Amino acid sequence: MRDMATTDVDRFLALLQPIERELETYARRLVWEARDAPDALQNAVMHAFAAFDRYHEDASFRAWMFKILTHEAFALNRKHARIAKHEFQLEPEDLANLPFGLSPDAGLERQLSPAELDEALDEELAAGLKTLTDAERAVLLLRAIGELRYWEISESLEIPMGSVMGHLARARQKMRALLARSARRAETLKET
Amino acid sequence: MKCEEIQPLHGVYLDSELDAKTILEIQQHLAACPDCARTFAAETKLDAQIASGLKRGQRTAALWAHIEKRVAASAESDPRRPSATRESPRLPWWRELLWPSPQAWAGLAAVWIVILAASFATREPVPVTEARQVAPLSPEMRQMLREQRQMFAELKGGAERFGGGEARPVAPQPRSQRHEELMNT
Repeated sequence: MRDMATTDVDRFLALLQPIERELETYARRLVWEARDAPDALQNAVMHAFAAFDRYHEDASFRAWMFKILTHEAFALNRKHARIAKHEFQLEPEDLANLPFGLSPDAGLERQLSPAELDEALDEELAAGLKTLTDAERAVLLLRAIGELRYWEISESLEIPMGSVMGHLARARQKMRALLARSARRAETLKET
Repeated sequence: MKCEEIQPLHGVYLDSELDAKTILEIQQHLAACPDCARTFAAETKLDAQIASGLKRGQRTAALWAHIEKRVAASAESDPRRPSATRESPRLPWWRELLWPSPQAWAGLAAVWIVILAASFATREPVPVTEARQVAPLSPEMRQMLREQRQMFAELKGGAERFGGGEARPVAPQPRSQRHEELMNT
């Protein structure tokens, strides 16, 4: 009896701990407000543990956790939906004019260190993610960070496989266009 | 496969979500078409850059320590969930008696049910003739029956004396005439 009790918490944490970094990265990328990420993570983990007796060993714990976290993040995003719609939703074309990342303000007159380049790319990506819809962002992140298969993404978001492929293709196209535009601007600035 | 058919499959191809036949067709096309090969290579590079950038992130130790602590605390406070530190409540004596092998007790009960069902099913029905046999009468009953028979015989004898044997059919007539007829006989 005592052994069964011990394994209940221990089994859950043993499955959770290897994916904590990915879950945190995913949450921070998916939520509109950075300060919501810890709440999304905590709520997701508590809900998952409460439902752990319904979790089957043959199912993917990783996919299950990402699914719960996605729902929590979406719930928090809905609180900011009005703000997001009117203040943060940007078109990719508009991003090129924003003063961040590989822009003149970032200081391209000197050679950037690898850490600075990473930071600049991170800002570019964060801004790029804001141009995506909730579904596009979730599909792109579930694939890139969660490394889920298409059918797992389909089950997690409860959308058809065709929609997964469509959202992913559009999300990648937008992000590629953004990075390509930034790279071109960086090249132009170097030349001048 | 044509160039315009290849382009939408780029992401699916990189994610290894296509069947073997389509993968082979794409590879054959890329080997034969330098333009598509160039586009694929550029997009692959950008996608890798995006994916690695999105994956970059750190685990906040303090945050996870807090979350894990809450998980353990919720297990403690949830009475439905067995806890590592909470002692299990002592069972009543009759449950302790049954607890070591509840399946054995259930099995025993099932065996008894089967035995009873089999005995009912195989029991021979009682013959109708036996069922209809009259039980032997007691001496008191015999005496009563004898007295009853005697009484009926006396009543019958009296009626014969009075009516003279078989009852004769009487034609319908008024009661006043019938009384006279009886007085004349």
